[in-house]
Amino acid sequence: MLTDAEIKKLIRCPKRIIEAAPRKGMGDDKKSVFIQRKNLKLLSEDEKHRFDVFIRHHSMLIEQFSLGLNFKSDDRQIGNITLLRFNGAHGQSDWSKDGHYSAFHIHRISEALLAGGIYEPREIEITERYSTFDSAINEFLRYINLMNITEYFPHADKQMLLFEREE
Amino acid sequence: MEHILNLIKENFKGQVGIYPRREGLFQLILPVFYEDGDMVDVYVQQCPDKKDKIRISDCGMTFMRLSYTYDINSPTREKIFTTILNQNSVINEDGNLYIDTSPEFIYQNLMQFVVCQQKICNMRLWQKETVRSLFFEKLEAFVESDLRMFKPEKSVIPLKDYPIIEVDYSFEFSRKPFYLFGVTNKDKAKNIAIALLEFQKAKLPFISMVVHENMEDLPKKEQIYLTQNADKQFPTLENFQETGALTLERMAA
Repeated sequence: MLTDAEIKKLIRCPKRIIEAAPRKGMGDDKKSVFIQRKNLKLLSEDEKHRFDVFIRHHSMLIEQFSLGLNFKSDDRQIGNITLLRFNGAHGQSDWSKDGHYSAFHIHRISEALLAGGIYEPREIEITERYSTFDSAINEFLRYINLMNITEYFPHADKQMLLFEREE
Repeated sequence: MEHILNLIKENFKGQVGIYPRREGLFQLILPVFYEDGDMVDVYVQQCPDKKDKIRISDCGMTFMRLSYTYDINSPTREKIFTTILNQNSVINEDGNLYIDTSPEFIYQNLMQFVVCQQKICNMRLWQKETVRSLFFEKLEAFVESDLRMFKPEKSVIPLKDYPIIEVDYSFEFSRKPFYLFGVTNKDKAKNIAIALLEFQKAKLPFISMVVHENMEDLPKKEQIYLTQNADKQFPTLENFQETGALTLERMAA
């Protein structure tokens, strides 16, 4: 099982994009007229770990988007697991205990969740790191420490992370 | 539409939020959650082609959520997806799932709809079990139909002194037998490498072939084990299906 330290290391370790679909921009989903999508395959710089990134954006409800980092674990119990997911706001109000549903929020997996047999990123944090889809992409790709962003996202904002802080 | 929204509030005894998201489209905020803590996405609007009906839909959000880690990109997955929809009377139109309902049944159909959404999203949980077992089913189906002229035999033990070392398929139509292995994970890859080394140590005459579920998913170390020891590898089942028969003929010559 992964510890919190290992999860953090996996999220923040340097990585390279080795494949992007589509190569440039976002593409249409074959099954849904509502979804714009992009998938990335990543390899850690030390070549020990593989990851997938999914980017999804609703074409009509533009505040609905999701960017996630999936880790391809060798542990058969874990399998492929979403370590981190940046989300847009889902709605205007909500029943959630923390009010996250109607705010920009981040989902994370944790050691405690895995120990409890929960493989969903259920730890949720309301965030001000981003306020639009484009700023979310910017923040997300830098947060997961991609070394070759501009090769695949040539218009990526060259600013540093908006919020540099220890976590 | 206002009387419909009031009807919904009445049916849910006030335990629902209703908010306009676009003209004529209203989002329902229900206390029904996915496993990651987000609420299900449900919308209502006047049915576009039946004025006496209400359309309950997800505006494509169920598909979007499912696609984070799972794509409906094979006939089997398509079949499972369609079965779930049919069993719940939900329609799919270009990725938008919906039920058209009369006002008097709106509560029941809303509950039916959210249950269906969760079943669809849970398709990804079957991935490891269902899809992996489908690989060996598909391999078996291909070998026993398209490769039957090569006289396949299933689960063969080449070394009688080592009954734990088993080959998935043996083809004994030429002077040397072909031993075929299917690989879906690194444990199987290691076992195959060990088997091949034992066959070589015993000086068995054979030609080995390995079919990967997806070679790219195998860690580098295990890829090297197999590259060093197998005579021929097929990176995917599709590749084996396209070229397997020709490869057997060519290597037997």
